[in-house]
Amino acid sequence: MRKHITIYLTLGLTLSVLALLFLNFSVYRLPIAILIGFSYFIWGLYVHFKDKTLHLSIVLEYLAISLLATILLIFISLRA
Amino acid sequence: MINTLKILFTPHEANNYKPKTLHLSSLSIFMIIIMISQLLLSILGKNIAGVLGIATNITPYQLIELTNQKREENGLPALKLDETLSQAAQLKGADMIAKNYWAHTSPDGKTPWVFLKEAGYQYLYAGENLARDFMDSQSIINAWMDSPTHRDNLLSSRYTDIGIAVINDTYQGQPTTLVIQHFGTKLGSVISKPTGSISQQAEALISQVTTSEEVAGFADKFPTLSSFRLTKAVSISLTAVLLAAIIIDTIIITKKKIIRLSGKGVAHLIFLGILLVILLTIKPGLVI
Repeated sequence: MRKHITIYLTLGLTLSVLALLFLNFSVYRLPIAILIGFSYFIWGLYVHFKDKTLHLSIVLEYLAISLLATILLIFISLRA
Repeated sequence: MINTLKILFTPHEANNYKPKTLHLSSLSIFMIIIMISQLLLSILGKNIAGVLGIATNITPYQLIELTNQKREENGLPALKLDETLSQAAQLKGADMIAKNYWAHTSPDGKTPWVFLKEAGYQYLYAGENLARDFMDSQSIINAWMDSPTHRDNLLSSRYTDIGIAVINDTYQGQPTTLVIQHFGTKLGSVISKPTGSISQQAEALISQVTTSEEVAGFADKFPTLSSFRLTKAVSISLTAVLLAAIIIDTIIITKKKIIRLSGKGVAHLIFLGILLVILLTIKPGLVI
């Protein structure tokens, strides 16, 4: 349980910092958007690898969600 | 209808115990829809004036008034509108539109000072602030005040004149409002005592003033929808749908103790929750 809290806390803190950077440094929004998606993808792979549950369907699930979020962030940045 | 919603949002035998909304195929379709809609927005914004665009409430006079208000709050004298500075700002804006760039220095190395000289403003000091895609004058002033270098320009005791250009045109395929703010002090001018709080690096830039009538004319031309607002609305809706599906899925999976091979629901919730906060918080407009 404690291990789970730590990994979720790490994820939440990392993404919160990146979100703040994204909102406050408008000039660097595109690379930060990519970093947000990439961080989540890598986090997913790492956690499932440690759990020994890393299968292709899970990799694709994290890839799709990360990619979708990155696309949304990129498009909103381009329109902002 | 209820059956369809069940398949879309709850883990069920019919969807292999995973909401259809979260299937790889559905996520891929969402991505394709988003990309196609953005492509359409670009095409519509470019080709059908009046369908997509911006309706801003920005005028040079408001910007000058707000700038002088900030200066007054900081014990500085008001800046005078100088038509030559405004003309220089207009030249700078026209150059950015013509050469498709948004920067203090053009791709061919033209600095803001060149436009000042071209307009006939012989400066002792000069400075430039740029902004684009804001919806109102107050937001621009707030953004400049939040940025140390722009704030230095706004609150510099070395300037006596101001020129502003508000240009509504198409930039990178989108209707855009560019704001160029130029500060200056003419050669031979006597300037008030420096406050000492202004950065010595705050050398300036220029901008041009368009008339309020021109701005009003633009608003009439592009009064309808903003591509930013449309993109924001679509993005928030999609993220909210995914979050709803994940919340329902996580609750049912935990309650019924269903075991399946899948990503971590709580992690998806954190990730999409933060994405939703970003989308709800983000505002249009950039300053340099």
